[in-house]
Amino acid sequence: MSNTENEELRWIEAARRGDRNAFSKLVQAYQLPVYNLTYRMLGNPQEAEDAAQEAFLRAYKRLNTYQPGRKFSNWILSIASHHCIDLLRRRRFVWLSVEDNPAVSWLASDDEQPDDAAVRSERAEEVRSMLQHLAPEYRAPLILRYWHDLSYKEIAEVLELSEPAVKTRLHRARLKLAALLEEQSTAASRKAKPASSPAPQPGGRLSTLVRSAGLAA
Amino acid sequence: MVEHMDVLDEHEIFSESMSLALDGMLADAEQAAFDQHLAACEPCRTRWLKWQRISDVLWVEPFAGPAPGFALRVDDLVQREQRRKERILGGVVLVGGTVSIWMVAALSVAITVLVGLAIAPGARWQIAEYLGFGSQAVAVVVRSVTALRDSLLTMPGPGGLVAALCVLVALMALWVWLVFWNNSQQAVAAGENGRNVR
Repeated sequence: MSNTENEELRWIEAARRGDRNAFSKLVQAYQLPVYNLTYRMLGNPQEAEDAAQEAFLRAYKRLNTYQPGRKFSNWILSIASHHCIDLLRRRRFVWLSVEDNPAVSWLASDDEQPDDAAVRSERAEEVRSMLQHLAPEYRAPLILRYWHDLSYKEIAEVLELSEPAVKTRLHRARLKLAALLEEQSTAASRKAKPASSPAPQPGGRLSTLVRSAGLAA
Repeated sequence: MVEHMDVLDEHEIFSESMSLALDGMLADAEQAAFDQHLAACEPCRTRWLKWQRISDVLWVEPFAGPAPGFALRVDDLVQREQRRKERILGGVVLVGGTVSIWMVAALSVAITVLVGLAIAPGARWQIAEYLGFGSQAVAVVVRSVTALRDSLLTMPGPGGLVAALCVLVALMALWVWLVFWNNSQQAVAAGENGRNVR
């Protein structure tokens, strides 16, 4: 066991005895991954802040249930991800128009795109907005994989799933993300070429409505 | 048609392999089969490139961090939680203690009344001592309770009991007000302060 892990265990033991300073050190150590997870899950800074705070408070209340053999980071991420999934499930229907999102020109072409900072930033923003269209069950493993660099086993531990379930969810998440970006790209192309577009149908514009939860089906 | 279905299945399986390949989870033999299919299948190659692009973008996305002072805000929450737990624990101890005291008092009253009614007044103190109530403190309580009993017995029956009951209820209400109402007011004030801080 490394010195860091030993020190962490000491903080946990002290926090269990009611030492707030020790718990504060744990918060400082894990605030970034926990906040990042809640932010990527919820897509809103204020909601992410509240959810991260709630995750730490729940961790504090449940410190006695923490098993020292488990990685504390995975334990706290598990609490945060379950809280976010609960929050997202409680949200009412969210209808989003794919056409309302920014164009995804970089996917429309198979050619190599310039890789400067502005383009990267634009792509990142587009993919971030697309993440919000994924069902929470698919979003969580994707975030844990890409941002937290967790293995399939660790993701399974955090989300309390089996490893095959993690494989399946990651696969479906990528499928849906790619399909969604493809759809968005097609919609953007139609907007860019109004002359060649079909006339709008009575009753309004094309409404390729994507319901967040509906993507899970 | 059968051939078409076979091709679809093959693409579907390949799609699953693509996800695993992105995470470096394919075994050597699977990777070789994957590469072979990729080289031969144009649609899958196109899809693979798009998946790789998405994956690349996701990998380089930076961590989002909370606003400064996050740890302090969590500490504030934890502090409020600690206070809440202390209030609950204090309340439980107070309620338990009060109930115990009242039960002891009621038991003392019952025993004293029964003993007093059954035995001659001159022998009551010796009896009390035999029963384990020999200390001076208990004697004072017994004397007080006896006096209370005497005064109750001299009053009209139901009226005396109702008056005693009213005094008890008033005392309990005062206790409840002191314990819970004051605490809830403090909790509200603390909550408002916390919101102001945030």
